[in-house]
Amino acid sequence: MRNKTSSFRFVFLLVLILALAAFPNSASANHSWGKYHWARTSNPFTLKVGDNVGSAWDSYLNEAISDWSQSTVLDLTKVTGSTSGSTCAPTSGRIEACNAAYGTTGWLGIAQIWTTRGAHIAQATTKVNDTYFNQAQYNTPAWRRLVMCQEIAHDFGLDHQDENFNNPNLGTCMDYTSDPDGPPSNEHPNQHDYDQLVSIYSHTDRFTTIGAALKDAPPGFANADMHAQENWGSKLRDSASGRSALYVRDFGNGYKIFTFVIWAE
Amino acid sequence: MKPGLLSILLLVFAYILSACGQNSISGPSKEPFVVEDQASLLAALQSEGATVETAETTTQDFFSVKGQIVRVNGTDIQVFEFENAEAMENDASQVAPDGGSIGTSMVTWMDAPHFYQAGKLIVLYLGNDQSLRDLLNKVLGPQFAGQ
Repeated sequence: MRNKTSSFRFVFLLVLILALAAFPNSASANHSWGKYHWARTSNPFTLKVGDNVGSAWDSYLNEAISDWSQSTVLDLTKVTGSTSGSTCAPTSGRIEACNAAYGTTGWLGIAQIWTTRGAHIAQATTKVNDTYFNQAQYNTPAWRRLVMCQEIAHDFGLDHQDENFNNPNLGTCMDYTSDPDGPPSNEHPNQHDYDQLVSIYSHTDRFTTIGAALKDAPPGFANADMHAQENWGSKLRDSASGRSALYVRDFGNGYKIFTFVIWAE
Repeated sequence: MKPGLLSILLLVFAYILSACGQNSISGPSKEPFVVEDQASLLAALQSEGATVETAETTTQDFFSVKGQIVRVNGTDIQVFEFENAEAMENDASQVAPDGGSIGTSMVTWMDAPHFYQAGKLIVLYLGNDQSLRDLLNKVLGPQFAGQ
């Protein structure tokens, strides 16, 4: 009986040790934002960030781009912005980074994504709110660095690591805090963030949403001449009255042009 | 039954009746405000002794209506009044349980977010003033999202 108990204890301990080795809690990054990610066909990939920020924000945007480009799966590159700070309209296939006094909204920064075909990010914006950054409390390098770093990262699918403002800093810009420069400092990403990016982007997709989306479309798709009826493709249906019809021209890989026509009497 | 014991029982019975009578004749209890819209919210807050003033409006990209900033005992809350409860529910359903994201918007709040809903209202409070949270809990019910 005693031998049986000892054997049971040994097996239990062995299973416990193996379980701890298989699921080390400290290394398991798990702060993806849902399943959102940019679709792409290979890694690493380069994402453009449109610069619509003023001079007070330039260095922080540059730092965020540099920090996140340390990732093994992702590179960011700054390009001329195609919108204004106050409007901050999105551009297909990339991130637009903006600053303006957006009002007393309660947020220091906000990241917005637009998705297509499920959880694939097609375009994204980052806004930092000068209504607050013009105030002494937030007008510090540490606050600016944290918020810019965090918003840009939301735009490629990272969530917060922690949302308690009052616990010790985790040493990442993906951690809510009341004291961004710590120590430890919450002004830059940490290894968990990079690990999470590897996890999010470990797979590849059959299509891409990065860059000018139409660039990767099949030949003839972007500049198809759809004026001539012979280019409309096959007819899907006629209306009961015969006054209208729907045609589809299928370019493959999900790229289709639908033509809905209403015939003149 | 002995007359003495009967007298005691009658006295106890009379006391119980008088005690019940006192409850029933006390003044009418304060009718709780049913919060349906911004006007009834302000009335409910004032009925609880709060000082209330409306300030500027605010626009949140993630809500389909503009918000009104209301200063309650000197602290700002954001009040969003929708056309009806269904429209409110539609936007409220987009708020993540922790209040960190709304639909496809991820927010870096200035302070801990607390989202409440009642009638056709969503109310957002950012902060940790326990007395204000207690007040909002009382007039709006428990938060539906936040920290």
